[in-house]
Amino acid sequence: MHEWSIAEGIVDTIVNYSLKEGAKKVVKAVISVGELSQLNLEILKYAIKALSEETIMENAEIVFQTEEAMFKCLNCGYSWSFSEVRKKLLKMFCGEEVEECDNPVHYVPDLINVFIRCPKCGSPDFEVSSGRGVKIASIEVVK
Amino acid sequence: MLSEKIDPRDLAIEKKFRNIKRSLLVLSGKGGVGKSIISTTISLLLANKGYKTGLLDLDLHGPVIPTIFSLEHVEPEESKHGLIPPQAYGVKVMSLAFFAKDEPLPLRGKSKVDAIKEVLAITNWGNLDFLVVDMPPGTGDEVLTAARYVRNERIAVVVTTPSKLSVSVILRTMNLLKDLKIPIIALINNMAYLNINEKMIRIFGKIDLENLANKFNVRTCIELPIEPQINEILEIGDAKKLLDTIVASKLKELIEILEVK
Repeated sequence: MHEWSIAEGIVDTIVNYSLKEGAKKVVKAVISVGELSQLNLEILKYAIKALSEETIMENAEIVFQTEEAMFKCLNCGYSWSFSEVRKKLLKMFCGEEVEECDNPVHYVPDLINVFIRCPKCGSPDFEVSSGRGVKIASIEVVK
Repeated sequence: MLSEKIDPRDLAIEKKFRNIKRSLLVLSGKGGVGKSIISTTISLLLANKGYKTGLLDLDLHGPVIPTIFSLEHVEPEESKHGLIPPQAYGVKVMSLAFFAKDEPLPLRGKSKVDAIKEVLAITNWGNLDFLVVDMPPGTGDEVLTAARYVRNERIAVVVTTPSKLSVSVILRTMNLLKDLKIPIIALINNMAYLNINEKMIRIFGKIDLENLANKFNVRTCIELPIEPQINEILEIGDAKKLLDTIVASKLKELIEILEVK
């Protein structure tokens, strides 16, 4: 259900921005989704569509650009991707063999530093170099 | 058509704060001055008077509010409009500790900023009369971020202890608040004295709080005692008993000011 709350922020932002630009209709919106947020894109799209009804972005084409989550250790310099540590994270909260589950990083992606360590040196001191959260990448409108 | 990507959290935060009448920021220069107990007691006093009250724990390095309320094993529930803060004694509580539990939060500057933004964007407070914010100590990224995004009517309370070091640090906090145009409604000198056999003993000495308050045009100074009963309350985990403390009776003056303003 977190997707609904995210969708609300997305729709409000696109509508607000487009109205300020004097748009009559939003034709297309490209949304960049960081892998670390672990959002279910089907639910997110459904929620955006539902919340767009009776707004200037009703029927707009919604395109998601998924951004791979990458990390860089500030202690040893090693870089790694979320896919390398994803199973470990899910196992911590939902047990073995789970493909998707609610976990704190889904709500606050920055908490990855709480639960994961650098796979090479074990340091918690790493940065998220890409794929953190949600951003509006582009909006196409008709004025 | 966009020159740079837009972060939808900015508007989400603004929208969530539209339903919150006032925010009371509780700050200190240093950690360990009792800011969280004071924030909690103020929240309980407000809720006890019938005000819709929220308490936001933004102390990223020592988030203890859920523990004070014995809510450490509770998780916020989801709703279509965000996470619903767990409630205790009429106070809605949100903290990163609900997610991180007892683990350390080894976050650097940008991650701290993002974590605070995320908590502000995802928390569905509903309508509130007061949001009490237990701010991070210092004058760094976390304080600036919280001040930037908590944009409704803001007022501040600054907490110190009777130590020269604490006073020198809160000077920076007070100067920052002045620059941010956030009015300080009270200066609180915590652990100012100990009452033994009805005798007030200032075991840490005395500081000239009035002089400091005058410099910043702060009209109210409140001295709070060292009260061993508070530790006992924390041990038994019954936060509501904080209302029966001398600290609470002294903080009622602050509630009266909030009601008048």
